[in-house]
Amino acid sequence: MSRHVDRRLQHYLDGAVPSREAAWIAEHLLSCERCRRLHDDVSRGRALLSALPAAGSGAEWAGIQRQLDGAAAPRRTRRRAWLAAAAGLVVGVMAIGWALRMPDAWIVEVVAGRPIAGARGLTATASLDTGQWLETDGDSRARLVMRGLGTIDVEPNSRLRVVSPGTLFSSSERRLELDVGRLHARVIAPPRLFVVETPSATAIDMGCEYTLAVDASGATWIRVISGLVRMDLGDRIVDVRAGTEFRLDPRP
Amino acid sequence: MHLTRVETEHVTMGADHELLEACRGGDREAFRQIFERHSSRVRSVALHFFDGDAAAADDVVQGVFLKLHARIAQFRGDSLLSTWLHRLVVNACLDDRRGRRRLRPLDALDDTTLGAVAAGQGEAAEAEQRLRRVRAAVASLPPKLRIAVLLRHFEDLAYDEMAQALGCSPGTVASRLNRGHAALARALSEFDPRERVP
Repeated sequence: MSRHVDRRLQHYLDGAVPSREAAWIAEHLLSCERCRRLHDDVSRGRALLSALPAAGSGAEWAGIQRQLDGAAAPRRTRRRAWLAAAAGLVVGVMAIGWALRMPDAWIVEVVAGRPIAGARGLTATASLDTGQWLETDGDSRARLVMRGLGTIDVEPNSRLRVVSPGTLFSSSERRLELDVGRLHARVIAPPRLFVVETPSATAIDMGCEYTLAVDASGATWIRVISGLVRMDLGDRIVDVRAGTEFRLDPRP
Repeated sequence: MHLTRVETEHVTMGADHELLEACRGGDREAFRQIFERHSSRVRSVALHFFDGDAAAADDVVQGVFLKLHARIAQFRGDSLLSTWLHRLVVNACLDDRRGRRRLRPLDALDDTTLGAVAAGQGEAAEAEQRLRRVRAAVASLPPKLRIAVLLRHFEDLAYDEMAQALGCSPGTVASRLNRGHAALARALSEFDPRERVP
């Protein structure tokens, strides 16, 4: 009766050993303190796991489909290229290209204090051009507005700039860079039109309301209130859904 | 009528093989059915492996099924699809934890907060506390013990199937399960009112 029962313990607890062996193990457990202690711990550990629920279904199928569609893209890409060429010809004939190239404008409204746009302190509404920084100190707040896109509230102690303003009448993306601080976005534009870069990720609006913050280390927080934000982490894409809040470490 | 485990495996195996054949012919709907059939368990293992991190679980599920799709022509069909999937899950979980930046949910509470929540909200909070503590204890296990414990809990695999998935012998599987379960019992001793025998 000197042989310990470690290797058969799981089977014994499963009720998966023959009756003679089960009787032998039971007898061994009575006389061997070491195995009895292990038996008690293992059976408790197994029972405790019952607190872990099975996961509900996620929304991964949509992501898988996108990736599978992407893998099968070459033929579609060629088709799209032909369509794009035809569309471009029509646009050229209509001779309104000049209008389509006009940059759209971010308008800065002062909410509190004296935010700085470009190099000047604001006291009234002004536009924010490509490459210009908008900065708020501890006492100031601002609101960025773009026609047809929505509003972006910029909290105190924030710094952001316009990377790409998009163009009038087009669906090109409007891209901001949030260097530090916090913004709250309410977006009414179609998905993928509004994009915010942070030091650690890129937030792509998919039609939603969310708060995005960046701390001094470059770590990013996001809280999605409604809709969905697609976070591009560089090596993968993660969808952040309404009611969830995430933190992302800075890039190494 | 109840099916035995072996009978259930035959039914599952037959259905999976039909779907796999359809997938090889490019049938996206068949692949979706395979996904529906197996993804919940894959997600359960991944979710608790990563301490309740839904985004990480999403990553693992997507990665596993994309890999499955890419290699579906190589599946010879002399074993269960689920066995192959388990191997992919194990590899995905163990690989994914290495050095990647993680988008972490911010609802993870520490022990102090949990105590306050439990004191204030009665049974529901206690159940929630228990879940969080068990999840945290599982997450603190070394990865090889953690994945063994989770595969055993959610997949109810035979030991030779677990051995195939984990790439080790059935004896090693038993040893890892013993160590994992015992470590959980020690980490969560406050949930068991029985006194230990000295």
